[in-house]
Amino acid sequence: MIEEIEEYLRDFEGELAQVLTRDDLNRVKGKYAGRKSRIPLFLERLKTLPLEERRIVGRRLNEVKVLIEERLREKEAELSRREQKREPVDFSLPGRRHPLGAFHPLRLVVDEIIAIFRSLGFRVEEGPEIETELYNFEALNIPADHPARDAQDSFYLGGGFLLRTHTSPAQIRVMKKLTPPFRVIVPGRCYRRDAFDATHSPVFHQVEGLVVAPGISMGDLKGTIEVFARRLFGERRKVRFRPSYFPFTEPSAEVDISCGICQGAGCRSCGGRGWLEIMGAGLVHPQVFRNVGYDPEKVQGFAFGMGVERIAMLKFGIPDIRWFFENDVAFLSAFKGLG
Amino acid sequence: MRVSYRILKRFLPELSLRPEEVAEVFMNQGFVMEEVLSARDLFCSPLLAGTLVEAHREGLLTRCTVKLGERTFRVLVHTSGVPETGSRVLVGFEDHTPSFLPVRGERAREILDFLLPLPPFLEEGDDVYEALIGDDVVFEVEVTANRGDCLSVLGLARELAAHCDIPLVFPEARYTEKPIHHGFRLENEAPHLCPLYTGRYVTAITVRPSPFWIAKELILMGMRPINNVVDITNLVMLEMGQPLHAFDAARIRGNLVRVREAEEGECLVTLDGEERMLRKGMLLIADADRPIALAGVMGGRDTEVGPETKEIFLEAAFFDRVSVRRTARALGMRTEASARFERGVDPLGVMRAASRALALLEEMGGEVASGWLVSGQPPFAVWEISVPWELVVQRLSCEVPQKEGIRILERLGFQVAQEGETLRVRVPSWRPDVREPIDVVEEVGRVYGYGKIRSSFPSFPFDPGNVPRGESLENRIRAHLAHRGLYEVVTLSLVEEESVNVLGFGGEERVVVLNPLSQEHAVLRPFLFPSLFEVVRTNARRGRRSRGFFEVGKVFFRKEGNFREEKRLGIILWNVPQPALWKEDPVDLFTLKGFLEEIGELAGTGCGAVCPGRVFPVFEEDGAFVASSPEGGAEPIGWGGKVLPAFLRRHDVEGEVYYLEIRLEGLAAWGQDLPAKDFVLPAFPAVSRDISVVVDASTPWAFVASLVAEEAKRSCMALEEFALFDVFSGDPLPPGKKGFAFRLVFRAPDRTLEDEEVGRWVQKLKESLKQTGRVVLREEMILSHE
Ligand SMILES: [Zn+2]
Repeated sequence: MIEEIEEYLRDFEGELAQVLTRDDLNRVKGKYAGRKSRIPLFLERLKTLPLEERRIVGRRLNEVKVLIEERLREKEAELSRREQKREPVDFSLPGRRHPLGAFHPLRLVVDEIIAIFRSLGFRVEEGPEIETELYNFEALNIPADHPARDAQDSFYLGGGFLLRTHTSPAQIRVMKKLTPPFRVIVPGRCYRRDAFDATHSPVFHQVEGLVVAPGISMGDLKGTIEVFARRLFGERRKVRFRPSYFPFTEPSAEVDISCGICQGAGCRSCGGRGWLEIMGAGLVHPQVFRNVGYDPEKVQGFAFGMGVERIAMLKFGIPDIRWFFENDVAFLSAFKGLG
Repeated sequence: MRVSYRILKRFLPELSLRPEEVAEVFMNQGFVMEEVLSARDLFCSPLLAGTLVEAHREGLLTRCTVKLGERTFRVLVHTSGVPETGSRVLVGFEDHTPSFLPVRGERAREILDFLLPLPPFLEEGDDVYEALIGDDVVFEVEVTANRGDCLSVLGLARELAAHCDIPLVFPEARYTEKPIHHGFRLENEAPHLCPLYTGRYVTAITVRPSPFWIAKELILMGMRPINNVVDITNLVMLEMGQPLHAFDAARIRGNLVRVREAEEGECLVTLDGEERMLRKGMLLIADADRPIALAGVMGGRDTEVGPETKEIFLEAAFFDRVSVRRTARALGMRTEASARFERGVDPLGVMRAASRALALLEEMGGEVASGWLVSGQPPFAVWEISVPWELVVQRLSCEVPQKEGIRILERLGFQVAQEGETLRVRVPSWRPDVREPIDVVEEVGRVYGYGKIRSSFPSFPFDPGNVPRGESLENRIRAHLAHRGLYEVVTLSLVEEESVNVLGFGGEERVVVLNPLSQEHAVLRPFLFPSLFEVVRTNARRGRRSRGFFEVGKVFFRKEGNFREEKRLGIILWNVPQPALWKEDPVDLFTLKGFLEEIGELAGTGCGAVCPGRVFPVFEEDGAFVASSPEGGAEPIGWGGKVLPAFLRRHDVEGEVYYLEIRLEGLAAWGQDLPAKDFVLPAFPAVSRDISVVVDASTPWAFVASLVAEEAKRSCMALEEFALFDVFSGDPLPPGKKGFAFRLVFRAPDRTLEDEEVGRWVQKLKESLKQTGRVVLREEMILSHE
C-alpha cells in the first residue's frame, strides 16, 4: 500500500506542474485532496492492516496529505500573484548610498609607483624632510659653491639644517642603515626656493630609487626602468636614455618615455619632441660610496629619482602644478574611483 | 649656450650632418636642445644694403644721410659709430620702420650707436639677409654644470667631431708683435684666487662698428654688437670659452694693473652703470688708485672702451671659480663671463684665447706690443687614468669595440695609450670633470650611444616586500576616509606665520624658514589645521561644496632645541547645505568622534578616553576634546573640536567646520598583529536584557558604563558586551535629568544561560547602580504626570 501512496503523490506532482489556471487547480484539488479523492479510501484500507504496518503507513499517509495541501496552497498563491497586476520596480531610481570621496592624484601616483617597485623586489624607506646640508649636498658629491647647486636653491633653517631639495639624501641614510645587496625606493616631499608657476612649486614630491649590489650596470638600470615605465604608462611606451649630469651618479642619464599621443613622432602635447622626460638616473658615483664607507671596487649601484607631480601631470593630463595644491573639489572629484 | 650651424661649420669644415641631425647628436650626447630657431627669427626683416651718402659731424654726434634706392633717411649717429662716407651700411626695418639695427625686436632710437658697415661687394638695395646670412639654423643648447668647456663653439664643435670622426679646426690666432713701449706692470696680490693673469697692450686702436660677420655671429649667439673691440672680446669668449676684458689703457692710472681682494666698503661703478658696494675678500682688478673691474664678473665703467679709446690693455686670466661665483651671487649678478669662470675655464686656453683676440684686433688695425705681462702659472697638472676595457663594457652593458672607444676619446681630446686590455687615458686641460675610470666610461658611452645599452635586470634575491605596519595602517585609514565621502588632499607644509599664531603655538617651538620666498610660506606647519582650513577656504571662495577633507602629512616643531617632524592625520568636516538628492547623515562633534573611534578600530587598539579640552583657541570653548592614547600614556593621541563661528566668518566660510588631528605614528606603534591562538566560536546562545536609567544631566555615560563594567567583573557575570542605544531627556523626564537606555548581552562559554540566572545578574547590576545614589531606574522613576 505504501507504494500506492507514493505513486499517488507522484501523480499529483505531475498534474500540479501542468496547472496554469484556477480551473485546472480546482480539478487537481478535487481529484487529490477533497472528499472525492482517494485519501478517504486509503484511510478506509488502513484499518485492515496489521497494527505495526498500520502505524508506518498511517504516518506516511498523513505526511502526504499535509504535503499535498501545502503544495496546493502554494500553487494558489502563485496563481493569485500572477493574476494581480503589479507596477514593475523602478530600478532607475538611485540607490540608498553614501557619497564617495577620492584619493589625491599625487598619492594615487605614489601608491602606484610603490606597488610597481614592490613587485620588482624593492623595499620602501622614508627619510626626514628636515635634512643636514651635509647629507643633502656634500655627501652626494655636491660641494658648496658648485654650479650644480644653482638648480637647488634651498630653504635654510639654521644650524646646518635645510629642507631637503631632493629625496637623494635618503640614499645616504639607506646605505648607512642597510647592507648590500638591496633594492630600495624612498618616496617623499622636497622643497626648493622656486616661485609658484605652472610647472614649479616650492613644495613637491619625488620618489628616489637605489639598488646596490656587486656588478650593477647601466643595463640593470635600463631594464628596471623599462619595466617600471611600461607598467606605469602602458606597454606600448618606449623608453629612451639620454646622457646627463648629476654629481652623485656617473654615468648619468635622463630617462624619456615616448609620447602617449603620437608614439614618438612629435605632436602638440609633447611640444613636437615625441618624448617626455620622466626621471634622472645613473650609476652611483664612486665618491658617494666612499662617503658612506662602501668600497666602490666591491659594490656598484644605480639610483634614480622622479618627480611625482611631473608624472601625475603626464599621466592624467594636468596642465598646471598648482592644481595639486589648491585642492579644488571640482579637481579632486575627477579622481573618484581610482586607487 | 647658443650656436649656429654655420658657425659650427667654421670649426668643422668637413661637417656633413644636416642641422636637424646636429640637434639630434647634441641631445644624444647629453646636451638638451632647448630650442632650434631659424636665423631669420633673430634678424630684422627686411635687411637691406644702403649707402652712407653724407655725414656732418657735430661734435660727438654725426648727422648722416643714408640712401636706399629712391629713398633717403636722415639719422643721428654717435660719431664713433659712423663708417666712411660712400660705404655700404645696413638698413634694417622693424615693422616697416627703418631701425638701422640688425636685431629683431629693437625699436629705432633717436640717436644710434653706429651704422653697421657692410662688405663693399654688396650693391645698394641688396637683400643682406640673403647675401650674408642665408638659411642658418640656431641651436639653443643647455650645458650641464660639469661642462664649462661646452660654453663655447669650440667645445660643442668638439662633441660633433667626436660623433662624426672629423677634424676640428681652430680659428686663426696669429699676429705680429711690434716693439712698442708701454710701461704697464702687473701685480698679483691674490694668487690663490687668480693663479694666472695675463695682459697684452695694443695700440693704434680705432673704435668703430664691427665688420658685419662679427656682428652677425654675435647676434646669432645671443649677444649684441657694441663696437669692434668689445665685440672681439665677446666673440672670442663665445668661440673659445675664455672670457676676456679690454680696458681703455689710457684710463688705467699709474700704468699698473693689480689683482687683489677688495676692502670692505670699496665701490665700483660697473659697465651696466650700477654702483657696487664691495665686500671684503671679493676679487677685483685695480689700478694704482682704485678698483677698475670685478674680476671675472664685469668691468668698470671708468675704464670702459669707448669712442675715444686708442690703446687697450687686454686681460686674459684664470680666476678661481668659487671666488667668482660667490662675488657674482653676493652682488646678484650673472654675466656671460661669470657663468664661464664658475664652471671653470681651460687653464691652457687662457693665452690661446688672448692670441685669437690679438689676431682679430690686428686685423682691425691694432698694433700689438710685444711680450706678455704674466703673473702665475696655468693651474694644470697632467692627469692620467687607467681604464681596464672590461670596465667600460661591463658598466655600459654594451660591447663597444675598443678601437671605437679609443677613437671617441681621442676626438674628445684625450690622449690614449693602449697597454693590453687597459687604456691609459690622459685627460685634456679643459676636462677637469673627468677624474676617475667611471668618468671615462661615461665619455665613451655618451658618444657611442646610450641607445646601445642592453637591458638586464639585477638578479640578486628579492626583498620579501612586507608592508610595514604604519604604512598599511595609513593606507587603510586613507581608504576608509575616502570611502566615507571625504576627499584626500595634499597641501603645502609651509604656511603663513599668522595661521600658526591663531593656534597659539609658541615661538621657540616653531620651525621658521630663514630665507622664505614669501610671508605666505614662511613657517613649517606645527599642525595640519592651517593647511586643511585653507582648503575649506579655497573651496568656499569658489562656491564648491564637500563633506570634508583629510590629509596624511608631516608637521614640524622644535623640542628641546632639536627639530622634530611627525606624521599626522588631519580630518576637516564641513557642514554646509549641499545640493543632494538623498539625505545625508548629520555632521556634528559626534561625527568627528565617530571617525576617531573608527580609526582606533582600524588600528586594532580602539581609542582611549576622550575628555573635554581645548588645544586650539580657534575651537569653541565647550566644543573641543582631547583624545588620550588607548594605552593611557601621557601624550594625547589627538585633538578635535568645532571651529569658532567667528573664525569662520572672518574667513568667509559658510556653515560649520569640525576638525580632528591624530598622531598617526603613535597609533601605528600600538597596534599589534593578531596573536596566534586557537579560535573559539561561541557555541551557546546569548541572552540580552535592556536597562533604562535616569541620571542628572551632568552625569557622563562613562560613569554608568564603568559601574556596569566593574560590577559585572566583581560578580563574575557572563557579560559579553553592553552598548548604549538611546540618550533621552525632556518630557516626561523633569528638567535637569537625562536617561540612558542600554542593552546587556550575556553569554557563557560552556552552557546555555537560564533566565533565572540572568535575571539575578540584571537585578544585581540595577542594585549597584542605585546604590551610588546618582542613578535611578527608569521604571522606578516617579514622573511628573504619573
Ligand atoms: Zn606627442
